[in-house]
Amino acid sequence: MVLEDTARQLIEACQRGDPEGFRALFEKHKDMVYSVALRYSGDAAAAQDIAQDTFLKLFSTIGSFRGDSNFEAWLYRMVVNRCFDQKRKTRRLAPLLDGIVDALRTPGMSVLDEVLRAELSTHVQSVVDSLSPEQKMVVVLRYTQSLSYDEMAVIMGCSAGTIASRLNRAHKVLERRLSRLAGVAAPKGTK
Amino acid sequence: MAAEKWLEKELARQLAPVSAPETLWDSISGRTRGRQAVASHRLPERLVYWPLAAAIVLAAVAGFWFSRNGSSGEDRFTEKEVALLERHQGVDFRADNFNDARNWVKRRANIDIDVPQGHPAAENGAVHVVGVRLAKLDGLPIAAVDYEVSGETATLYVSGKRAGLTSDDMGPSLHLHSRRGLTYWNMRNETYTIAFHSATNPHGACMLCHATPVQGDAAQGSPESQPGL
Repeated sequence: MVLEDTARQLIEACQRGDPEGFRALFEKHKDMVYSVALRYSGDAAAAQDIAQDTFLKLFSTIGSFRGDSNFEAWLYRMVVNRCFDQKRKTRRLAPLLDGIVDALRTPGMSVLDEVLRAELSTHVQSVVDSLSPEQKMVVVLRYTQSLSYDEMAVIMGCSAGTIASRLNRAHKVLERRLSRLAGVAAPKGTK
Repeated sequence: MAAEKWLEKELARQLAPVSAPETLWDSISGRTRGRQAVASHRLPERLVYWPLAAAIVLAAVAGFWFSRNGSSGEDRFTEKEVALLERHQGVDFRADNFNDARNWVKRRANIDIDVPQGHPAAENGAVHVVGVRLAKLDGLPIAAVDYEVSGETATLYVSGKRAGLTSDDMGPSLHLHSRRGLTYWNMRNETYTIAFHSATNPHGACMLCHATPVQGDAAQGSPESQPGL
């Protein structure tokens, strides 16, 4: 997450109030922001709200960003904080399901396999959603953005050891609750 | 190990990044335009804050000026002012009677001190004048006459009326007594204050003008309860 010259120029353009700079910065980071928001909240409408608030916050405070800081970590922190602040009660992971169920509808699968896989997806998502906010966020950052422990530590404001511990505990919970479904997910002959 | 790999693979698949919807920028730019529209209807911050800052500065300066000049509209010294005056002890002119003290003050500071002359209390030795000194309070000349009542020292402070006062009464105004041993009144163009801190005879200093200690003006009920005294 090193701030490159072009990224620096983009930030400086935003700091000058250049509208094209804002749009370019948005285009550069929109997928990351939206993905974290969607995978954490599990709801497209909530994710859009989180992403929108994140960019509005970014644009209103970018003047205070110091050039020598880690911009991406700064932006990640904004998303993470907005995810934590999100108070929606109707958290669900339906958007996850849509793509997964479609992917599972592969030729040659039996109706039973389709049902089991759909069932598995629902279970995986509900178990992830049941994790504590900190554990869930670590899982999202790890599997959505492939961030390292050190990068996550900077974003979450804790040590890499804490990140490893949270992720390990999350894995154990997920394994324990999903172990009976593991056979369904693994293609025949690969388990 | 196999279960762990399965889990990681499943999570990576289910939590894969997605593309932001096309409507996201529209919602952000719409909110931004809304904020700008609201902001454009507001007065520029400098037009709001500068007059406010100027008003605060003016109020502070006025407060400082009034505190320095004591022109609070009060017809008397505050306890704080008397405390300042009481820091100065000793006399500039020794006098064993009130007429000598009054004449010296008139010559040196052009302050008229009006107290009854030839009063029995002064004659029979109940009140004994020690001397007089001149002081200044925020540039205003003040005469301080020290005298003794039953062995305890009292001081009469007299000054010309301060700026902002409108009273032009020729006779003595009501006397006010404070719990802190101060007695106030106005007469003609002067303000009078007696400081006498006696625990046993709090109104003894009034014998400078009265035959017996004055317990308080009947006209104003209970002077001790006057606010600000």
